[in-house]
Amino acid sequence: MTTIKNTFLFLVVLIISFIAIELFLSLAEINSLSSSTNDPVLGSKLISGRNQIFFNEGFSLGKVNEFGYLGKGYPYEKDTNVFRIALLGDSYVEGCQVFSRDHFGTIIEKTLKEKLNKKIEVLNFGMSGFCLIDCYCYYNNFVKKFNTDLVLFFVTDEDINTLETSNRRPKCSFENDSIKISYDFINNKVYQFREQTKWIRGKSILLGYFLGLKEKINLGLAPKILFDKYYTIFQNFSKDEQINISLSNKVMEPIIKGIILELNKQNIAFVIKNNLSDEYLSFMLQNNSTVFNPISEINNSENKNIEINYWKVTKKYGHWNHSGHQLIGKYLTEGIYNLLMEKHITEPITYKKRL
Amino acid sequence: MLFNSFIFFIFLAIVLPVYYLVSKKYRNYILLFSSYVFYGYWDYRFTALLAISTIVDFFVGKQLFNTNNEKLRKKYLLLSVFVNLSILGFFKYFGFFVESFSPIAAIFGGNLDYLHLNIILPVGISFYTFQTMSYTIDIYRKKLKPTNNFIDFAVFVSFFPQLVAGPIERAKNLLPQIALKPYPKREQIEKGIVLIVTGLFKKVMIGDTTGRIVDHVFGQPELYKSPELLAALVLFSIQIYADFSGYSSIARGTAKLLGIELMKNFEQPYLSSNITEFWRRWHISLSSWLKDYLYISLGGNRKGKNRIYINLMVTMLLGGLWHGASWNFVIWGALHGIYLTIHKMILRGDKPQVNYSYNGLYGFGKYMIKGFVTFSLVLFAWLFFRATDSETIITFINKMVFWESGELTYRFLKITSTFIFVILVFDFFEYFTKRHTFLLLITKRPISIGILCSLFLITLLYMFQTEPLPFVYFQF
Repeated sequence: MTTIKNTFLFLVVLIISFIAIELFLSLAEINSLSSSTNDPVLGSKLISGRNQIFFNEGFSLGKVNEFGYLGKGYPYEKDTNVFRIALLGDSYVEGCQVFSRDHFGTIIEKTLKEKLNKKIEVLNFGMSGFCLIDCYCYYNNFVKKFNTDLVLFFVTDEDINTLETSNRRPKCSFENDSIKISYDFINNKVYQFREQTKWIRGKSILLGYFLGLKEKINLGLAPKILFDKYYTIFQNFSKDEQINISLSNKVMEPIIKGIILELNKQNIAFVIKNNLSDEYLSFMLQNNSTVFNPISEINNSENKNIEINYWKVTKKYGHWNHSGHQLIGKYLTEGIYNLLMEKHITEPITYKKRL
Repeated sequence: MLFNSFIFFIFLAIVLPVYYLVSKKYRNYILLFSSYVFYGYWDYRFTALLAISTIVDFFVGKQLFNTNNEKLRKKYLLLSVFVNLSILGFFKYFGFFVESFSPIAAIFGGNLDYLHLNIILPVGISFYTFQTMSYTIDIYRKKLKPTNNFIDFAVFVSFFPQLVAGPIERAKNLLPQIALKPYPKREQIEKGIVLIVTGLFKKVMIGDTTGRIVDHVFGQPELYKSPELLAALVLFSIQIYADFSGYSSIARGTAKLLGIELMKNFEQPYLSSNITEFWRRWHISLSSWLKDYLYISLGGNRKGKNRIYINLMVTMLLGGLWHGASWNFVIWGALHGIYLTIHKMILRGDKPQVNYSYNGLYGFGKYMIKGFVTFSLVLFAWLFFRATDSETIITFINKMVFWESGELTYRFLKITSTFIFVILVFDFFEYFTKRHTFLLLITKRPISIGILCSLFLITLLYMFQTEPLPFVYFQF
C-alpha cells in the first residue's frame, strides 16, 4: 500500500514539476512554442500572436502578428494613399536572425517613405524552406488577400530547382497549359500526425524537446552528442564519407517556366538573393520579368571587407547579418524607387536594364 | 571534459563503480588516473604542467618541513612560488604584458611583435596553481605537515571534481580526506546527487540560457536599445552566478560521491546587504585564499588604517588580474577594491552585518534597500568584467545615460524577471535553510525524488538539443 501511495505521490510531484518547468521555459523564452500549425489550404501557417525566439547565427525576438505573418501587421484592406509591398521567399526573407526593426523590410519601409513622401507598408511573408513553388502557392492562397501593389519573390538557383516541396504543403502541376495547385498533402501521414498532435504541440515546449530528441536519434546524431569526440567508434561509415547533395539538372522545368510567366502578368518582381544561373536569368529577362539583382552590390561590399553572411558573435556563416539587411534594404529601396519613378513617369517598366 | 556534457556522465559511470569496487589501497591510483584522463580529455599535452607542479611542490614541501634553516626555507618557498607563478605567468599573462608594453616600447623605437606567441591558456591553470601554492605556503608557515605519500599529493593537486574551476581547496581540508581513501556514506551519496542535479540545472537551464542572450548583446551592443542592454547586464549577473555556482555544486556533489567533502564556494551572494558580505559569499574559496595568502601577507589589518586600505586595493587588483590577463579585469578588481575600502571607512572598525534575520518591517525595508544598493554596485562592476573592449563599455554607459526605449522592453523585462525569480527561489531556500541540499529536508522522499527527476530529465533533454557551453570560469 505504501509503495502504491509513494508511486502515486512521486507521479503527482513529477507532473507538477513538469508544469512548473514548462511555465519557466515559456516565460523565460528558453525556447518558443511552435509558431506554425497545419492548414488545409496553406499546408502550414503561422499562428497569430505567437512569440518567437531565435538563436542560431544571430539572436532575435519576433512575433507573428494578428494577420498571420511576421513583423508589423497590416490588415487585408489598405488605404488608398498607401503603397504596399509584400516580401516572399525562404528563411533569408523571413529574417529570424535579426530583430524586426533591423530587417531589410523595415529598412525599405522607412527609407522609401522618406524618398517618396508616401506611406509605405512592407509585409514579410518569408517562410523557412520555401522554394518558388511554395511561394507561388502561398501567394495565391494567402498573400493576394492583402491587396499588395508589389510583390518581391526572392529566388536563387536552389529555389527554382526544387520541385519536391515539403510533404506538408500544396503542390503545383501543369494541366491544360495552366497551373493547378493540388492539396493532396492533407492525406499525408506527416500532416495527419501533426494534425492529431497539434493541440499539444502548440502548448508544450517540453514536448518539443521530446520530439527533438526523437528526431536527433532518427538522424543518427545521438552517438555524436553522447560520446563527443569518441563518437567515431560507433560510426559504421567512413569519416571521410560525404553526402553529396546534387541539385537537380539545370534544365528548366515546364512548371517553373509556367509559374514565372504567370507571375509576370502581375505586379511582381524577382530578387536574386544569392546566385541565379544564366539560363533562368535569360528566361526571365526574355519574358519581361522585373528582376532586381543585388549580386554586384554584394560583391562590392565584400571588396570593402563587409561580409554580409558572417556572424561575428557566433563566428558562423549563414543568413544575411545586419550589414546584409542594410545592404539589401538600401539596394531595394533604390530599386523600387527607380521602378516606381519609371512606371509613373515614362514607359511601362522593363527593369532588366538594371542588370 | 565539461560537467555539462554527456561524456562526463559516462566517465563518471565508469569511474564510480571502479572506485567503489577496488581495494582501498588502489583507490587513489584510480582517482589519479581518472583525474589525468579528465584533464587530458581537453588536451593531453597540458597534463605535463600538472605533473611539474605536483613534483616540484611535493619535493619543496618535504624540504621545507625537514629543515630549520630559515634562509634555506625561504629559498625553497621561493622555488615553489617561482615555478608555479612562472608557469601561470607564461601561459596566462605573457601575451597581456607584451601587448601592454608594446606602446611603451614603440616610444623608445622598440618592437615587441616577435614576442606574440599565440599561447594557449591551459584550462584551470589559475585554480590548481593557487591550490598547490597554498600547500607549500602553509608548510612554510608551519601550519601544515607535508604528506609523505606522493600519490596522495598528486591526487590533491589533480582531483578531477575541482581541478579546472575549483573550489580552490586547502591541503589541510583535502589531503587528510584523500589519505583516508573514504567510501561515501549514504548521506553523502544523497547530498551528492542533489548537488549534481541542482547544479546541472542551474548551469544548463539558467546559466547557458541567459548566456545565449548575453553573448549576442555584448557582442554587438550598438544594435540594442537601453532597456535591452540593461536586461543583458542583469542576465549576465545571473549567468555568471548560475554558471559558476552550478559548477561548484556539481564539483561538490561529485566529490561527495567519492566520499570527499569540498568547501562551499557560494552562499547566495546577491542576497548580501553590503559589499563585504558579498565577498564572504561570492567565490569563497578564492576570496579566502586572497585574504589568507595575499592580504595577510601584505600586513592585513595590522599596520594601521591607511595600510588596510592599500592592502585591500592591492588584493582586489591582483584578484581581478587573477581572473584574466586583461585590463577590464583589473578595472573590475579596482572597483571592488574601492567599494570595500569605502565600506571599511563607513564601518569605522565595526563588524559588518553578514546574515539577515527578520526583525520587523522597518528592518526588512532597510535590508532591501541595502541589498539593492549592493547589487547595483556589483552589477556596475560586472559590466567591466564582461565587456571585452572599451567600445562596449562606452556604448553601454552612453545608452544608459541617454536612455532610448525600445519596442521589446516588455519581453526583455519578462525574460529577465523570470530568471531573477527562479534564481531567487533557489537562493531563498538555500539562505533560510542554510543548505544547498534543501530538497533533502522534505521528509516525504517521493516528493524530493519527483522534483529531482523532473529537473534532471529536462536538463538532459535540453542538453540533447544544444551544444554545451563551457563554464565561464574555465577561461580563468
